[in-house]
Amino acid sequence: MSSDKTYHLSSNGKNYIALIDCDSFFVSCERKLNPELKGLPVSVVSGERGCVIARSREAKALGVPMGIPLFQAVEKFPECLYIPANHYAYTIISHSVMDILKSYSPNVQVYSIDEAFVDFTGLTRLYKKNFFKLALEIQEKIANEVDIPVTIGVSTSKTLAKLASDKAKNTNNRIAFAGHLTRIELLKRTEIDEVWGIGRRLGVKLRGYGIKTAYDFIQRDDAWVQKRFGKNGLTTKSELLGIMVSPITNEIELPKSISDTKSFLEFSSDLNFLRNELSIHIHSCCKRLRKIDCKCNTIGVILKTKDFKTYYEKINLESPLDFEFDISKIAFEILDKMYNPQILYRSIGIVFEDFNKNSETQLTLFEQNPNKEKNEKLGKSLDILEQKFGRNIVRTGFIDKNVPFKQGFLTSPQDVN
Amino acid sequence: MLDVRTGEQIEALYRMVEISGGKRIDKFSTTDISRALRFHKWYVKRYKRGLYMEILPQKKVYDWREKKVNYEF
Repeated sequence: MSSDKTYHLSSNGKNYIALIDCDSFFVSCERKLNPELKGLPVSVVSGERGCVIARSREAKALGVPMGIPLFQAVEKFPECLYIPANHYAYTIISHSVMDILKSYSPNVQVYSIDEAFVDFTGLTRLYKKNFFKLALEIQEKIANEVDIPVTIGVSTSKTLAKLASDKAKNTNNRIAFAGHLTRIELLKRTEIDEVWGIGRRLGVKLRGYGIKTAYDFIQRDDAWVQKRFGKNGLTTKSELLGIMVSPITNEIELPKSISDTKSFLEFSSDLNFLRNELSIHIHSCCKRLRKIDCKCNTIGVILKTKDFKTYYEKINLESPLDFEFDISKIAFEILDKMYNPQILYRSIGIVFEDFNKNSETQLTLFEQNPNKEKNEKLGKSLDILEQKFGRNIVRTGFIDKNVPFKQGFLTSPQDVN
Repeated sequence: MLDVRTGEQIEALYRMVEISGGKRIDKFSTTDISRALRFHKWYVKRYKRGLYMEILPQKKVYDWREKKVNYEF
C-alpha cells in the first residue's frame, strides 16, 4: 500500500475510480474560516442542546466519542473546544471542492457533502501522470485553493476505492492505491465489518459463518453468497474482486426524503412559537424541493419532547406540492393534532417524502388549486430574492410576529451582506 | 474570520458559553479569537469544564430611516 508502488501503475484499459474524502470535513471548514483553530482539539456540535458530529484528530486523540451530547462532553473532555455547526458554510465549501474535482474529470459522482467518486479512467493518459501523481496534484490543489485536507483512495471499484481511502487515512501522504498487486493484501487486512455496505449486524452474521476478513468473504462461491445475502451480497463480492458493478453516474438521484429540524434554544410549549419554527423548516425544505425540480406527495411533522420522546405523523397528499403556503396549511393541521399544551418541546421538524419530478407530474382533470401557477411563480421569486439578498430575507407563514424569531440568523455568513 | 462567500476577513464575535444543568451562561465575549482561546485555556484549567464557542459573524444592517449602514453581530 505504499505510495511508491503506484508509480508504475497506469489504466491499461481498465476502469479506475478514486474516492476523494475530506478529512473531518466540518472541523476542516471551521479551521478554514478561523485558521487560529488549527492544531487545537475541536469538535463541531449540532447545536447548544445537540451532540458532537465531527472531531478533529486532536479531539479524537483526547477520546471524544462521536455522538456524545454536548452537556456530557464539556464535563468529560473539557480541553476540547465545542463549536456549533454552520451547515450553510459547509455546503459552499463542499461545492468549491466538488468544482475542482469536476475540472479534472467529466464523471464525478458527489456521494455526500464530503465525499465524491471520480472516474480516473483514461486520466493518466490525459494528464500524462500516474495515479499517485494525479491524486497528489488534486490533493494539493484542494489544499491550496480551498484549504481542506483530503484523503484519496484509487481502485477498480467503488467498494475497493472506499477501502483504499479508509486505509490511506493512516498513511503520511493520505493517498492509497488498491490495484491487482495490493488488493489481496488489503482484503486480508480488512475486517469484514469495515467493508462498505456491511454494517455491524451483517458483520456479526458473517462472523457466524466464519468470515472474519474481506478476503474470507470473496473466497465463498457466488451461489452461497446469493442464497444468504441476496443481490446486494453478490454486488459487494464482485466489487471486492475489483469488478465495477455500480458505475459512476452524474445523474442526480432523487432523495428518499428531505427533512429539516433543529433543537430550540429553550424548551417551549407555545403553539405559535412551534408554528413559527415549523414555518422556517418548511421554507427551507421547499427551497430544496424546488432546487431539484420536484414536488412531494407526503408530508410529516416530527415533534420531540423535553424528555426525548419523539412523535411523528405524516399525511399523503392528493396532489403533489412544493409551495410553502400550501404545505404550511397541511403541516399546521398535523401539528394541531399532535400538540399538547401540557408538554414542553425541544424541537420540531418537517419531513417530505415520495417525490415526483415536475416534468413527470400528471395533470389532473379537475384542478383543485386555482392559484397553482401563481404559487409556482411566487416560490421561484422567493428563491431568487434569497439568492440575491441572503437567507431568510422573506419569512413565510409567520402567524405571530411577537413570538421571538430565534433561529436561522446565528450561524449564516450569508447574513453578512 | 473569513467570509465563506468572498474569502475576505470579516469581524466576528466569539462568545464563550458554559453549558450547565441544561442552561447556558455567557462567560466571555470578544472579537479577538486569540483572546477567546486564551480564556478557554484558563477556564478549563481553573474550573475543569469545557466551553461552547459561538461564532457570530458581523452583519451589515441598513437603517432605512437614518439612511446609514449599521453593523451588528
